Amino acid sequence: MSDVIIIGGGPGGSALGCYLSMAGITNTIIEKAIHPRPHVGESMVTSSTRVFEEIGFLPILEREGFVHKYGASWHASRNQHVFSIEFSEFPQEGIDQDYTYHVDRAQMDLLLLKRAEELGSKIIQGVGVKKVLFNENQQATGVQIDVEGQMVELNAKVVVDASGRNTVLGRQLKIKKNDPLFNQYAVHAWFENLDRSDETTGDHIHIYFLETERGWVWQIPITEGITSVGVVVDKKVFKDLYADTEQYFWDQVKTNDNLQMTMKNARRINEFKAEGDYSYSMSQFVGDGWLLVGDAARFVDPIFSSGVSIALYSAKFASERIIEAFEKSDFSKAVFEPYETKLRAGAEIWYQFILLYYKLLPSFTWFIREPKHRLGVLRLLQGEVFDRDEVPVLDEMRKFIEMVENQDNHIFKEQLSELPTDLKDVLQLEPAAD
Amino acid sequence: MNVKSALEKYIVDEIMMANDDTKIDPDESLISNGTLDSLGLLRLIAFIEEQFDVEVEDGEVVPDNFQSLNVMESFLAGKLGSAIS
Repeated sequence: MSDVIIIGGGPGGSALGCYLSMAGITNTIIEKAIHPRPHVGESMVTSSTRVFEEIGFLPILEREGFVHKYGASWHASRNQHVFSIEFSEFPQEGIDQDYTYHVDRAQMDLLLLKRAEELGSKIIQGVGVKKVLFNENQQATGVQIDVEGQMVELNAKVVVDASGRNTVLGRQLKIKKNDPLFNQYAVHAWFENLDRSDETTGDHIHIYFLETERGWVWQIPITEGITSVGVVVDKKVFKDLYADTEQYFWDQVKTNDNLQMTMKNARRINEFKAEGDYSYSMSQFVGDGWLLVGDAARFVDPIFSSGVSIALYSAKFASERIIEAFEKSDFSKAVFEPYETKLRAGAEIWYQFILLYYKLLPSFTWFIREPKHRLGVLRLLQGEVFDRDEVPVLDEMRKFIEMVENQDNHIFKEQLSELPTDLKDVLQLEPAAD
Repeated sequence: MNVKSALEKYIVDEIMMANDDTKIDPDESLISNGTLDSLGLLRLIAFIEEQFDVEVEDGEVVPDNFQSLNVMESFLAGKLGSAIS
């Protein structure tokens, strides 16, 4: 029997396994799939470097030759305007390298799971968790797993749900809330023969604005020759207009001049995959004997590559409270609550940033270009969202939107999207009372 | 090179991507005729800030200040004047 059972062997689960093993807390990671398995979310932000370093994973990322990501570039839909930033412009505390990584998630997640195993986590793959078990006091006591049709119970002091978008425990407890503002829908695949020849921006992540409101495309280099491309639009645009995915994809690509040029000779090398029901949050991240990490707690939006970073940091912060719980032999909700507060505060900053971004599109580029705003934006793009009391650039963005809306002939007036301006996160619920 | 010809050169080379000998009528409205879309203007402002060491405020991004080469010149003259005084 392990002290802790972790549901899911993605980045969140594996990082948590690493931290707990390093602290001498035994843990078992139960993964439904058998790695390697494909996964969306192929670009990182630089703040993740701290976690990778702490769990000894940086040398592995370097050894395996994942593509270095030095910055990001945005492309207007017409007239070939490009706006770029480089992470090196603003050094980050405790991080020596001025790049992060683009990854094949199948490979990275496998390596991360192996790293957890190396540090002492017990790994069970190809086994799904049917449900989390609770005692009569609503305290989590373990999980029920399905081993080739036979139900087996495993017990532990703490159960952590790191099941990602499967949200195993959130669904079981019926605490999942979908975001009414965002219902984005992504269609993505891998391609060969994209033109990535630009020396300075070839290995950036590229974001192409589309003419559809809130529509954009990601371009992420996976290897020297392979590039991931994903079209993201409001789900109703896709549903109303298209039955054929291929047609839809290429029609959207055509609405950005630079993207069309970049993909002129591109050839798709795997099947299109779709992701829907994008944005959600659990109304509670912790309880007696249980915690949620990463996407199993909350997912905002893929626009700024924040998903893996949130998963890694939530694993780090969760491990700190779990270690404390073992020191005190107290596994009650109260011990875990500071984790929830911290994670919510960080996710809220991402949420506000993303909401303001979608409100501003494409005039967001003003904030990338203007020297007085640029570093504030860059710091968010690097993933610095935790333990921050103030984020001045978010207030500046709000003021800017207000000013543009109140001025008769501001150049950006017509570009603001229809999103409401009183941008309060509707999912930022207080932890449910018992 | 004076302010106006520096602006003209940047617009011709970088925004219109036209031949070097392309001329712009200094009174022609570059916004109404589609030469400068909002993001093109944004790039032009970045150029102006760097080239002339001035800061364009969030609230100054209105057509009244950037309509034509002549309008830009007088807007910048105000900026440069106040930077000197």
